[in-house]
Amino acid sequence: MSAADGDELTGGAADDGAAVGAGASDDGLPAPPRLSADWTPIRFYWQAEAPFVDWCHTGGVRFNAPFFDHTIEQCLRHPFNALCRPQTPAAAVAAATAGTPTHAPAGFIFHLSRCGSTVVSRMLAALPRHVVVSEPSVLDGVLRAPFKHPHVTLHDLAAWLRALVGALGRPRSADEQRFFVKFDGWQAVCLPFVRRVFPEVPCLFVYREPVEVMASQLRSPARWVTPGFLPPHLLGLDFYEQYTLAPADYCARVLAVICRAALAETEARPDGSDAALFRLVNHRQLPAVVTDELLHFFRLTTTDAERDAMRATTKFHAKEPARRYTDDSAAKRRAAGEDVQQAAARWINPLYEQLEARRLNTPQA
Amino acid sequence: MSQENLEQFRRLVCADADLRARLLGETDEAAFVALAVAAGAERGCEFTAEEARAAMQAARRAWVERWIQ
Repeated sequence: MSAADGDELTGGAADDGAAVGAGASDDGLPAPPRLSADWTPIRFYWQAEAPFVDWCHTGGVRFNAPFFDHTIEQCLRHPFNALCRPQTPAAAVAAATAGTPTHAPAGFIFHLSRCGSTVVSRMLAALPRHVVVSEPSVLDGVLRAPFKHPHVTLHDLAAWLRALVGALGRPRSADEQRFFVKFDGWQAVCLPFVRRVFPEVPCLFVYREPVEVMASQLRSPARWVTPGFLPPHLLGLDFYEQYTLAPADYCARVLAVICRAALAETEARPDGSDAALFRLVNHRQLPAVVTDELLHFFRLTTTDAERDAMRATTKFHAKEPARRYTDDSAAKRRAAGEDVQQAAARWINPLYEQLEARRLNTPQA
Repeated sequence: MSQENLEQFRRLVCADADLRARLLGETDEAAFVALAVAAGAERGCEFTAEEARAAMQAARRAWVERWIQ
């Protein structure tokens, strides 16, 4: 691929280091440090009712672990990153990174969880010019902010999200030309908001037979399938009710909300979000759909050898690359008990069928 | 005061590529702490090894607890 296929970089000339911002900001506080692309935002947190961001010195480390936080954990083993971790107010992220170029996101991946989304991200990341930031907890902190801090405005949230995605998208080597974000499963409920903030970014939603997803989630639940993580009103429950549901019912309610959010994105939107920039992918279509269709959807040009390199990743388990991949769909269906079957049938299957109908009836570019 | 000194030291590290490279070159934790304490004192940001270790422990705890904030 030629360099011309890469995204335009936005922002000023790259700094080779970081500089302390001069003077004080308008609010009288010390100006935030200026942080080069060697520094990566890793944590969004609250202190005295104000949001802050933690940074980690990642240098030229490539984000090639299946999940972004795994790479960060490697970096945090260095004592430097335990002691010298700059912290900036969330509102100062844009100022701290000003002057360093960044790639606009080339694509966002949303998913139902346990459905092959990591296969997609690993295939994209097989090419050195692609960077996939997979389920970074720093973005989770932003998207969950309204749950515990209801005074937060959409304007603030959008500014924080835009600044942090911009900071994550800064190339850390000359090779890096395309930048993707894979969001965590529950964050599909934020699709309308994320697409409003990034209306030009193609978004994918990957899903799978509900019973197979549920079997995996009940065997090893994601934190957001545990009552208390998501606000109960999101699931149509009250505070106490969320703790009284059987695990299969609670899991099904969460997955149903995710499916409903994805389904809504297939509708024509009054805010002008481009339906052509939203794409449904069933687990059954993987991995071929990535090289056959999604490269085009994400506006990527690749060579035969590069597509071979992408396919080669699928021989191994996406989340544990040391293991060879085996299809476990039948085993998951067998493992699903009556409670799982019933909960899936009641809460998710009708939405799954609608997603399938939309996918099969939508002409693909 | 030492907390302020540590914060000032972090800002200096952000600004000083040579200092950053020296610190990044030391992966042994005890040697790193000794180096950081000495580098801080040279620049007027005095803090003790115990204070540095406590700050490091707090940073690691904050990362582990990031989901429950």
